[in-house]
Amino acid sequence: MPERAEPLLEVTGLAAGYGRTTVVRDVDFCVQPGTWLGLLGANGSGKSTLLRAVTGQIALQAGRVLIGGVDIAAQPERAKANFGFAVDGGDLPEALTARQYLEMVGSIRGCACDDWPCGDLIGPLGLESWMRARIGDCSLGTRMKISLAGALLGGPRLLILDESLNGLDPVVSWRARGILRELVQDGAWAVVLSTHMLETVAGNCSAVVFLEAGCVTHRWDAADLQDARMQEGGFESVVMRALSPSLN
Amino acid sequence: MNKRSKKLLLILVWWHWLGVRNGVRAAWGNNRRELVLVVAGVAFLMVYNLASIYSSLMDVAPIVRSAWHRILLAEMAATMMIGATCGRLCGRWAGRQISAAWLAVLPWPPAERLRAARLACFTVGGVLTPLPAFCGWGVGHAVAAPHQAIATAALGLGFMVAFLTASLPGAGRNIVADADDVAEPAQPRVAVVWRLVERLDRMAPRWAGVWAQGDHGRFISRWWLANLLAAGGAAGAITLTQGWIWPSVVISVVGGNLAYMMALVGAPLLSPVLRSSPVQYGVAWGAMARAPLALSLLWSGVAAVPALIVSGAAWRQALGGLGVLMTLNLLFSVAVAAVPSSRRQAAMLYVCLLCVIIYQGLEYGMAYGALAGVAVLGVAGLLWRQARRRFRGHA
Repeated sequence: MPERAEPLLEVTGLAAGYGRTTVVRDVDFCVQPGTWLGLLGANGSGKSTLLRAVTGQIALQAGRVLIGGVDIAAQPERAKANFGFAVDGGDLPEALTARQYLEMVGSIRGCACDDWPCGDLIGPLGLESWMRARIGDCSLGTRMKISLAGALLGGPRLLILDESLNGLDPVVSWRARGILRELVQDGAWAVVLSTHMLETVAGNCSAVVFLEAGCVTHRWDAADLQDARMQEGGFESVVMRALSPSLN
Repeated sequence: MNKRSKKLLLILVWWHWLGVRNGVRAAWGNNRRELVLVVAGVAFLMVYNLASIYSSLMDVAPIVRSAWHRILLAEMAATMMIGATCGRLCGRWAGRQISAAWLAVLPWPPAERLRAARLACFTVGGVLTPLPAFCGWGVGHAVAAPHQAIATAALGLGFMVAFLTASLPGAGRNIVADADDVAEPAQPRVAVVWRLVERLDRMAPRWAGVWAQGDHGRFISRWWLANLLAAGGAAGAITLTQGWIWPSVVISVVGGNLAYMMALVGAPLLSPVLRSSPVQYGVAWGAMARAPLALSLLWSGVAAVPALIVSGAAWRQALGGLGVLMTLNLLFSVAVAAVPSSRRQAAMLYVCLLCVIIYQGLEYGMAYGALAGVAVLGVAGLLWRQARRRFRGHA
């Protein structure tokens, strides 16, 4: 029997929030290499808070997060070396140019500023003419491309994307999904994507977790997703039925 | 403008105040214990300081009474300076509020927005004016000075005039710019000297200093640089012409610390870019501080040259000054680490910590001053630890 690979991300009994307020609680999930996990939920359901907790930006109120087997609370720097996080476009350093941003991320990760696991990314993401522009002068979509390029730099095995595919133009969005899909199919990488785009989830994810009021209320694994694709209305109608029993 | 839109505009101008109120409510919900400690601490300090001022005033009451007219003039000058500073800040605030992007797209002509900003300045000025008037009345009452009513009115009026004079240009600045539809500002030009400092930014993590300095393209504003150069030039001239060492040594330390304070920005430490990266807090901090520190040391070295020209033996004082400068810079670094989102608040925290040491030293002697210094370093250590925990996601 083949040995099961170590999970790239293991979240157990997680609770997190701000100050004394708990936003997400009792969250458990596991991301194996070669999987693409979709994180769904309404606005304010706690997706971004969950990702902030997973990436070590806010303190855990309970539970444990292991990234590549490293506890993020005990060894944050070591754990953070195991994932790439595409930050929100508005959080990028506006005073820097796109190239300077990639050089900064590269210098932190100890790699060159064009060391991507999938070859060149500047061309496929359409960033050629923006590399010398200040990030503050770039549109939201361009910022998301820069952020995505930064997350992939150095080839971390786990990619965490917080609504990072929103705002991309259709061609670049298609290319970006293709690049991520290839990495996942390679078997060594995994992606966690928080999004509202159900078609992206249905077409790419191998597992889906749905958050409601800070708790995981629904889960779909690869087999469920395969079934959903066969049904009339696809995954979208499955989600809608699960959320609103009256639609049945 | 009808009554309803007038009301609405006032509410819009006060959205900043509403934001503060909501922030306090949120803090009360989340960090009740800290808020109670802060309020209790501030109240205690205020009562202690008021009692101290009153006791000192009673000690010198006969002198104050005999020189009341001169003291009143000095009070007037100080009140007007404070009024002008508050007015400038208030005018800029009102101008900023009324030209917020979300408000600018609403169908209100620039003239009405300008009127609302000015109305806000008048309101704030009106609310603040009783404070200096009450202070003037309190001092006069404590020492039983003559013409107390005139003094009270003069201080109130002086504050109001200075406040309004300074606030009105700022209140209209952004609106006039909007109305004239001025061209996009030109790209900032970075001076050669700053480009040299930027070379330090090539060490990992790269470009952290450029990120920190933001859109200005320079580490220190021209206004501060001109002031520093003027003060340094004057101190150097006094040292060279009079043969006194201390003006150059003092400006070397104070100017070096001011340069550090002007150039150091900690805001990037709050960004998810660094907080989700595998970088240690000390390394991230070093990246923020290396260029400001280089500037500070450069200034300190150049400013100390006149003292060394006058007397070769001045190197001892210069070296001592360097030690003081490094300690002050370290203390300011801790203040910025504690409040990375606002350099102004960090500067206030830093000045408060320094004031504690200076006050204890002047009031109770050097030994108590040194003791207060040790206590402040202890507090600084706790603040640093807390900032590190926050950066690593532990708090």
